[in-house]
Amino acid sequence: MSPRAPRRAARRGYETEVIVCARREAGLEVSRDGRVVSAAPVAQPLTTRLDDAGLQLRPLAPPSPVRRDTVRRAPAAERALASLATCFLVTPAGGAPAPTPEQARELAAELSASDAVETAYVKPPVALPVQPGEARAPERADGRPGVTPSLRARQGYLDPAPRGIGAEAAWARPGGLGEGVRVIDIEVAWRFSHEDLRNRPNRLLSGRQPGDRESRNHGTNVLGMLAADHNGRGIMGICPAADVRCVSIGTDEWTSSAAVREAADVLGPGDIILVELMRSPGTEDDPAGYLPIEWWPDDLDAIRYATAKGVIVVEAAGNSGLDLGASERRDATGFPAAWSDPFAGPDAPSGAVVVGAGAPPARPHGDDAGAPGVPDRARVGFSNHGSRVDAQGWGLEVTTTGGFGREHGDPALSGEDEDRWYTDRFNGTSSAAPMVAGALACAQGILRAADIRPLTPAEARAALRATGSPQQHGPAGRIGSRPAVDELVRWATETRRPRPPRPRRRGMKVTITIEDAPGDDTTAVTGPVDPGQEAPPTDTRPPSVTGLPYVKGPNQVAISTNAAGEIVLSADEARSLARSLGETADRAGEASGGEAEQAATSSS
Amino acid sequence: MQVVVGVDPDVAQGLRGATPGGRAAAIHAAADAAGVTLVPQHPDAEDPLLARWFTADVPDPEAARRLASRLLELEGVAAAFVKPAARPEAG
Repeated sequence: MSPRAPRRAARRGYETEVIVCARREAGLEVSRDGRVVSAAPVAQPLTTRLDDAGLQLRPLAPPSPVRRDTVRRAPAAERALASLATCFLVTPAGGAPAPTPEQARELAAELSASDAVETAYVKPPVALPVQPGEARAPERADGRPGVTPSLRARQGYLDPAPRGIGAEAAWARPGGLGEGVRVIDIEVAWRFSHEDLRNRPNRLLSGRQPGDRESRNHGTNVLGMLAADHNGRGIMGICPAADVRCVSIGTDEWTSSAAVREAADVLGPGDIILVELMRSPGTEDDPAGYLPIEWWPDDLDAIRYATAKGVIVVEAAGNSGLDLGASERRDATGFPAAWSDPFAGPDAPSGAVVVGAGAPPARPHGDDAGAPGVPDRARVGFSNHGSRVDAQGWGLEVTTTGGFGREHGDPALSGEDEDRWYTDRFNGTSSAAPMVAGALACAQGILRAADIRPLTPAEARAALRATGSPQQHGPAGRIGSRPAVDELVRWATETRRPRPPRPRRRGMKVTITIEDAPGDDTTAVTGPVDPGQEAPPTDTRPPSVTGLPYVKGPNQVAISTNAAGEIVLSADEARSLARSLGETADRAGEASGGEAEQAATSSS
Repeated sequence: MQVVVGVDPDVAQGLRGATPGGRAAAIHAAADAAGVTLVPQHPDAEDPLLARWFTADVPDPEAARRLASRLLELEGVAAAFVKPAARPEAG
């Protein structure tokens, strides 16, 4: 620009911005004259504060008839837009100058405390993409205030196998940063305004974060491992180009099933859910340690729902030192009669990947207290273990964003501000699981970029078990191998993988066989599914009978399957179905089969 | 505490209906007697894998156990258990 050129108004994104994402109950909406208004009492302190400061809100996604029409045909886009609709840019009213970075940080912190605000954060100005090694000053590790040095050298888990998972080498391959892969972390809270996590706004997909520091540190530890910016300061995420989002169970500690289902509905085949939650299966007197959530049958069904959609679910194994296959002390009172221990063997009824904690090589930060003398890739004593565990990640001394536990960030690595906290001490299966999830995200990105079908959940488990750096001798109990991204990719490309059944889309032909199950109140009706045939989409069925068989017309019986392609009916329903088949096909008594209608979508 | 209830598919439809009858009504009555309300765990789910699950928040642990035991006695109830709280677990 010529020195004499007049100064133009700053373009959006070229100056420091404050973004506010409001809670839905705040009721913020765009009026006809373009102002952001709300009649909800909870929003009044916020709007008054902004007025007093000469600030106003501008929608990040202003209403647009064209976009509404577009997103109607794309449910995922509609959800994304709905999410974006609660987010606003804080701008000075009347042409006042944009806030300085320091003012923006103070404002974001103040707005975050409002009951009407889900999150508020500072968005730094955009920068042109640079090639690694170009145009950036060397990192400084001299403690200069305001600048966090690169901590990459402390992240041995990014190194080539067997020391690490080979993430850094994967980054050089197309898709190796996790491009095109979506990951959802399910836990409680995160510090989204952290300086190393600002590459994507609005990561919170759903839920309300409580304010406790321990939960926030934990989520920030996990999120940093996966998604930290590659910006020359702080740490480097394993898969920063993946779309990493978060679902919070908040203070409602029983909603894990709904959280898994919600995440699964947003994701598609090859994407990843990371479950960082545990429960104790014991009694108050005998807690019996902590287990992955799939022990509980409703959570198991939610995970089965996700994996049946082709979504890879990664669960932390737990830090109670338990053999997952030894279930004597666990209380399964009231579980379904058909339930069986999901940890009893290597088969995975849920289809999820279970991750144990292994020792890192030669204590990278010199703290051997967590597992004295345990060699690299041996099980750390506190890690749950057993034949059900598929893979391991570092369970000690993981350098990442956030503080540790309830504490501030490690003083040697961190600034005063929580947005600059880092720790060398993240650990447990909590740190191991995102390492494996991140390795899978890198591998899925590489496969997609090469136009190779990404791994299914079952293939991901098989690949993790067949490849990687093997577990070493140490405390007894299987935790599997430490993954290596390049080996996962090689397994996917060199293994003959049968095409998985296509997920149910617009319909299918179903052939059913009814079998009596003596002594059981429920009759199981299952049948092979031929996805090549058309049947009516769900929304053409009368709502009152959705999910149940009903007679559509002569020789036509419609029936729903679950996401796993199974049909499960009660005895009454099976008898009803048998009658329907007998009547419509003019066959009596023991029904032997029927076919769902075909090509019946014209009326939809 | 939370009580999680799994029911047969036809009962699930009854529990979600405006005027539940038969087995669904008996289940609702048991919840009412405990002073709680059963709600679908996945309100808009059509998948039978998910549609069969219901929950009730019961503040008192002993009351939660009593309700689960009572529900297990009813026809159409395949599962009823007290679900512990979930949390992240650092090492």
